[in-house]
Amino acid sequence: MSDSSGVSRRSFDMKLGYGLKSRSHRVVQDSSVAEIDGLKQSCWANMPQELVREVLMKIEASESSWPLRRSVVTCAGVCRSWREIMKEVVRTPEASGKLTFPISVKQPGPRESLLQCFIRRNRSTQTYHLYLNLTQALADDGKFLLAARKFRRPTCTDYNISLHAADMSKGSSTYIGKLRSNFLGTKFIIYDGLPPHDGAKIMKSRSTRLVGSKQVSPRIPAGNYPVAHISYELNVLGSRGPRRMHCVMDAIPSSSIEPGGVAPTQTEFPLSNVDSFPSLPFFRSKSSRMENFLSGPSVDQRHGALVLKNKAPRWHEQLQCWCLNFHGRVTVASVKNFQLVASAENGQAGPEHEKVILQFGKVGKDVFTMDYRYPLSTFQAFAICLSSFDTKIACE
Amino acid sequence: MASAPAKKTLTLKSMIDKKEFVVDEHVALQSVTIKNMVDSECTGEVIPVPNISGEILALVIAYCKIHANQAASEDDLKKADDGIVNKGLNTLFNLLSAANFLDIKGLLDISSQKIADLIKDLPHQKVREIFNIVNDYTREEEAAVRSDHAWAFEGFP
Repeated sequence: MSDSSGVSRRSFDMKLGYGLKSRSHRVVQDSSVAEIDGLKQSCWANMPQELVREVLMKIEASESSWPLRRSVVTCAGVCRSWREIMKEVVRTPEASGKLTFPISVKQPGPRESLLQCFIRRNRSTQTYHLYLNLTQALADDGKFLLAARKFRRPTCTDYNISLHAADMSKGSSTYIGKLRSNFLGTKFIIYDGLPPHDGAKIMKSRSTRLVGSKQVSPRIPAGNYPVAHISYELNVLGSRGPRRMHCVMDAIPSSSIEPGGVAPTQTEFPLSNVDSFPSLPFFRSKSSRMENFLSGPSVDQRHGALVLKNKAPRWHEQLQCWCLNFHGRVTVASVKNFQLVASAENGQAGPEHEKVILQFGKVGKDVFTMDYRYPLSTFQAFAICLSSFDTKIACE
Repeated sequence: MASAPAKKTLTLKSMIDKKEFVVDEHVALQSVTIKNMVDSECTGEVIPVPNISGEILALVIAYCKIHANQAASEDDLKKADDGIVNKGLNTLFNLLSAANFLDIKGLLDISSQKIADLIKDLPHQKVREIFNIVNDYTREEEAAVRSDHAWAFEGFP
């Protein structure tokens, strides 16, 4: 069917509008694309924003799961206005239960359900890869989310966490944070490469600073904000019983899990200076979610921070072991397995303290599932799980 | 014996090529824009439709006719809709614009969905060519876009 102007079908060789360099084109085989008439194209140089929005909304709605969801990211890469529209159309993981852009891994998970992920450990390269489950299977092809690599140092161990599996260096622009453990593997700190909230203490670049009892290397790139402290202890039964985990989420207020509570949400990665070392982080304030982020609850150090504790397993007399109900997501007994719930620090426990916020456990030789929900982000959940790999407390 | 009253018709006239189409009123009233014009009685028998060519108007009317038919089954509607949007991108763009101007939600939905289906698997340079879009990212933004893209495609062949 020829096009409306009556002009005969042409090969895909367009006359481009103003402002574009001419490029060579190959003849496109798809007949629907081949029907573009170069002369008429100029009237679509400025497709009205509301119509672009209709199309982008359709893409976002129909490509809801990975790998197809990458189309959403592709469209956001077309130009500035498309990116702005797509960022408005896409809802946060908290609202939609979906991960879309890389920043999604820094945002709180869904409130009503657990996001199911799994971790593959590679002992020879000392790396850990986190994937989003795509099916009901415990470990499937998965959508890659984050990678971590272990770096052992004289007095501590670092796990650098990155958005790209291949790029694990500290100075890289894909570095998003790390987990640092003390020498004994009993205490850990999660560092975020971005400020978690307004008023966060900034670690100066290229200067030393004391964090807890450890001196921080001056080579750490600008922007390492402690966001959580994790400690492991033996329980009263010593190494014969499950260990106790205590996580203080400095960047998440305890009010976040109460009805109507909110957790801070980062909305953009900062733009790094492409020519040199990543600059101190800043944010472009674009969406209305920024207001929530910047004016959201700031957490005084250790006051009002959300505390997570591991759920105590029950002793199963017949099976002669400690049991937790992992709802089928953990299949191999291991002292590393745990479920974290919010601790009622002031003694007033409510239904919000029953919900499992993070669950981690072994399903295979080097495969572990990780299920998490609001108010934790993928990044925080992953870092907490990494600490379970590392700690030597109560290991058989 | 009184004969059944003649169904009221309207004439829609494309202001681009002056083609006229006579349609039953209830078919045309699926366009909220036309309905508003008729309700506010600011138009005569012939309704001028700016910015929409005869060919596109014909498609719009075909859509409205099918969807005005109460007896049509879901399958019939789906088949007909597929036929209407099975066009080249240029036609689809014009159809989307017409559906927007005439405020016909269903047609807006199927046109935008079809365009979405056609472009969603294309690399972003190709999308820019189709929409005649200039890449207006700064170097830093371009790096962020590439990083997003690398993450989205990581691990998938």
